[in-house]
Amino acid sequence: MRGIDPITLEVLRHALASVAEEMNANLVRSAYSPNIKERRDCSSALFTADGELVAQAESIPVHLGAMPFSVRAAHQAVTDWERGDVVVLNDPYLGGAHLPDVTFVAPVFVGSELAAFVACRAHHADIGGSSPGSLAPRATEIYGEGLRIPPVRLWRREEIAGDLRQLLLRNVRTPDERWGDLRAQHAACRTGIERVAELIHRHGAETLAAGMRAILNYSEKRMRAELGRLPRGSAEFSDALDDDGTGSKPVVIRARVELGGDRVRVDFAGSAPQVRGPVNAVFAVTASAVYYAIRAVTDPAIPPNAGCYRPIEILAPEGSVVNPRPPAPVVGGNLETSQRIVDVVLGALAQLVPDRVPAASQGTMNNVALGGTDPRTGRPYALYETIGGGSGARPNGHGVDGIHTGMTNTLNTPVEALELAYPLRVERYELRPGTGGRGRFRGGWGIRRDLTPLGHTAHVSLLTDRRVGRPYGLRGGEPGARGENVLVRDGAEIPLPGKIELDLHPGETLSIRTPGGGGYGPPAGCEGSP
Amino acid sequence: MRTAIGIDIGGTFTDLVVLGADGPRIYKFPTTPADPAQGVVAALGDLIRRGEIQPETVDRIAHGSTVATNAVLEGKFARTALVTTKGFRDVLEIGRQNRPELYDLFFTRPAPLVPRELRFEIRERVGAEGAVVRPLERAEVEALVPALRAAGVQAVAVSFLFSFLHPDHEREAGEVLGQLGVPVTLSSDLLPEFREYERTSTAVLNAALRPVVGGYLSALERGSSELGLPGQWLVMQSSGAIAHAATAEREPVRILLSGPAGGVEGARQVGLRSGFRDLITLDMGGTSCDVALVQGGTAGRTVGGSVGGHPVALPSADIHTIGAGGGSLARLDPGGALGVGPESAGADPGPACYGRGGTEPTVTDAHLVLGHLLPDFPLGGLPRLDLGAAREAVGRIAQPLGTSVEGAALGILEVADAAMERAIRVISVERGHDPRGFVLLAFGGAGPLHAVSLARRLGIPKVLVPPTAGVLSALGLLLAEVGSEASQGVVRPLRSLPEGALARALSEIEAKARTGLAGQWGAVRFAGVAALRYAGQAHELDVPLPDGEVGPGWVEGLERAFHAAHARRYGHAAPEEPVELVALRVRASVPAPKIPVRPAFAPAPGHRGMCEVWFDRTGAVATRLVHRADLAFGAEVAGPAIVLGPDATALLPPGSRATVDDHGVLVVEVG
Repeated sequence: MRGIDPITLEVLRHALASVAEEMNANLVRSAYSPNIKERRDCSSALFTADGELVAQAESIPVHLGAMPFSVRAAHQAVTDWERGDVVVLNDPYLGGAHLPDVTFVAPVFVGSELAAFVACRAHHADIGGSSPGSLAPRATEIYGEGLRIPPVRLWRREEIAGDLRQLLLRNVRTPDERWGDLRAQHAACRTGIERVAELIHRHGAETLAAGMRAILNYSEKRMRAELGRLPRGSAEFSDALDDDGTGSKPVVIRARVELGGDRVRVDFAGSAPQVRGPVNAVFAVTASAVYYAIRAVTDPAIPPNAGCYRPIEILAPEGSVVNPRPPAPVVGGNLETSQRIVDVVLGALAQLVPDRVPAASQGTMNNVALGGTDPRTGRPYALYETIGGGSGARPNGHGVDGIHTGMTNTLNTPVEALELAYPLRVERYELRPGTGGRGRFRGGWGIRRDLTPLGHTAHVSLLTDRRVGRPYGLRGGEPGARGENVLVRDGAEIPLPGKIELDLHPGETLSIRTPGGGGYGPPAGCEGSP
Repeated sequence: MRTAIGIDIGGTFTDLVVLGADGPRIYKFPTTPADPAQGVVAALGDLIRRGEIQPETVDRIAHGSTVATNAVLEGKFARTALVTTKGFRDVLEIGRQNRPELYDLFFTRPAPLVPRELRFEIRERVGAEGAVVRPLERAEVEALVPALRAAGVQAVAVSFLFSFLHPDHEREAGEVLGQLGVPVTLSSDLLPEFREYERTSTAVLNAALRPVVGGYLSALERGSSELGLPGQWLVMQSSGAIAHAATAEREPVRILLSGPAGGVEGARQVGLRSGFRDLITLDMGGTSCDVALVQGGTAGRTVGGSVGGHPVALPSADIHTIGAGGGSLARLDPGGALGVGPESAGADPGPACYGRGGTEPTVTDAHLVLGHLLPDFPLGGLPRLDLGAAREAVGRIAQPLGTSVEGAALGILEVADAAMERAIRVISVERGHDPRGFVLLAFGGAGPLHAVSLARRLGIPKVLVPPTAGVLSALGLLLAEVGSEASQGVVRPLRSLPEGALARALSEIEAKARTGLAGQWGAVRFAGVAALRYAGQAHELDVPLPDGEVGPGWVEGLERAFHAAHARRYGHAAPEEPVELVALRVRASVPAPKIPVRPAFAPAPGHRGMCEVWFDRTGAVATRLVHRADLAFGAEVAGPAIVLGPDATALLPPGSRATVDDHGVLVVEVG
């Protein structure tokens, strides 16, 4: 096997990254639902024939580390791959994140030899279960969260498996839209297969295989070099989710981060056992959150692939909230728990590399789902949004006000777009001055968004956190203000819990007030105090 | 015969094209960043003194200006206040709540153009139906006046929710605030379309730029009058149409992409004249490379642009910038790969071969080492290039690469091409196109050096190199139509709108667009698009309006066109779904006079015959040196060859073959 020189390495790196990017562009372009098309809640990737991640295109970090586990599961389940096969799966216990995230895995052949895999994952607007949108805030088992798909071939030698398709579509609320999105994922896989075939034609199968290995080694080398620049040592940090949504106590997450020269180990021993409510984070989600935190304190320009993650070891006790056993419900693990895992890992890293880590950001996605019957049309409607908050203050400056942090980065719905589409009025959309933790540098401010239903009663589900606990400050900086969910009725403010379902009547206002970021350094006047 | 002058100000050079009956003549002057207006006036005076321009024959001066862009990038704004609906003054700061970098914990957002203490709220509200929910109280606005005066604001923007459906509140507020005696921008006036953040940001940016751009343009026009030249200039807009300077003064956000839009327009016009309607345009300069798509003779447009992190929701050429140019630096990264760009040697010190102290190898140095550029042929305003310095710089990376200096230089170009290929593929795929269906039109100083190898990588069969490749942006200024645009947001199901109301809305928009033309340019044409989407989608597609009067057939024709456009762009359509009309946009225009653009190349001495040039690792091959001036219509050149022009050098690798068409364009079959 000939070696790969630095020029070929860089040329192939661009070419392979381009495969993932083109797949994802095609997925976004041909998808049906706003979740994929507008919010870009999807990712695409290229894998070696052994199932190692080579290149990935993603637009939100929560997709970062999750797909390799699904590809491995598909690879284990299928032993007789053929050209034109496509495996689908969404089982969170086999590398999925939560049920709405459906992954496609397809092989690329050179002659009869398996040369690579392509894969893509997209968040589907509904995958069945007890709650529209499949974000059931009160599920106590995964069975209530929707349809669970093990690795199965939805295409076999380019032919759709009709029976399986019918079974899938019979179990979801909007089958036409689902099929449109599933076809878009199929189109993305075909783009990937074609492009890899072109690369094999241009460079030869052997060079391409060697190139993929070289790129993994390249990322590994750069990641090890970056880690090697960090001081050796270990630190521990713990923080908690307010509750699991079924009336539990705070759910503790603990991490010990050990920097050992050119590698890092993150151990979640001491984290809470898995819980009854849907905030359990499957291992793939935990891994994504850890990868995010490590990338953020090293060089994010290192191409994300299996090599980049080789120096990262993650230990998560089985049966815990960061690595639950089935049938624990998991939908919020991806949304809320992932944020707290980032807080905890960064909190530990802050003790080891203080100049690289800000205070805690808001630490929640503030998931708001609102639905009902539009009195103007008599048709049902459903709105889902997430709301930004304060980012943590940095060692060299204030936090940023009103912004998405951590594992998400999706856009808001403009006020005018929301009011044109839904029978709702936005009464306010503004910053919450003073909610950032005080400090030498202050935390970013949270957001206040007030919604009122017009002429009908709306059903609301809230999946939010940091309504009890507060985003931590660092080096003497104060914590950010907690978030508040408030029902305004007849001028009176009635506090609501962080995770709840309720009816919102005309004349009532739901006021979501998101947390501020933590402060950094002692506030003025406190300088010199211990 | 009348003369027209196109002036395009770049970072390093100001390109000047004088277009008369004998075709374009080209001049380059150094840009004077401290006072660009003064530099331009001085250059014009110089050309008049040298007899190159007869002021009395000039009837048109068109300008591609970076003044607005530079003001944004340098943060030179007027002190601006914003007035919004109560409860929404922070919309400007929250934006779309996303962060620009996913993994950077130290990310910052550009500071809002108006700080919180200058953002004022008024208790008024219009609902989604366009009806008043809470009336505006004039007294409340009047109470703001002293506060704004005390704050010393130099410009004001007003942006209320749903003002695009009901502009009366903004107008009344604008009337009151007019007392301040500073320019007031109303969001419903500038951009009457939905999405409050984008509309507000556009209005605020407009307000903040007015004093700066106004001062600059008046200085130009004053200087021009004093030289006996026309005192009324035209300025290129981001949309690719040219406008009166007065429009640019009133609505400076429309000229933020003035320069690049001129390039795309020049490329589009040159392509059309040569009979090519589907183009990928590649403008490669010193630090970056601008790519745009022209399909069916129409340049791609977007309303989703932003400058310096501030969204501008007015139509502009859809241009994608890649960090690869002649000055891009080649470096071995810590993982052992050879990276090229996005860091650039810029204009100063520039590539090592410029001899201004640059020591790191750049793309231009690689070309020189390989023989693609000649050391004693002028480039970038320099009479000669330092081959020794280029070899030394490239040699620095040759050793760790374990290859020769030429091998390293070839590697630099391969990597630069791979990066450009990747970017062009993604832009094409995102817009629903396969690059193989296009021809590549290359311009800018470095574009024609990379075009053929890049086309081969992308599977593109043909490359076009225009005769004025190095100054195509300036030429585009003279070929562009004079145009003015207006729009109106609707956001209603298309079928719910009475035809009478649609027709009325259209004629109002047309009338508004026409006012921007000032009437003196002859026959006005209108071209409109409807921004349409399926109900429930968040992004819309622009579909050309059908010809003829608004009626049942017209609406159906528009719907059909939308389904077809949706299928083209996204691979599927849903003819049974209701279609929503988001906005109507109209451009009123007067075409530019048809002028021949084949330049009269001055005969150039020297540099003919053969030389040794590297194209790949097999070694140098004997290569023909050809001058553009020597190539008659229909002349053929087979690669390997180098075609030397006054402003750009084209590279024809072995296997490619070029023909000069009737317009002086080099049409290359890449082989």
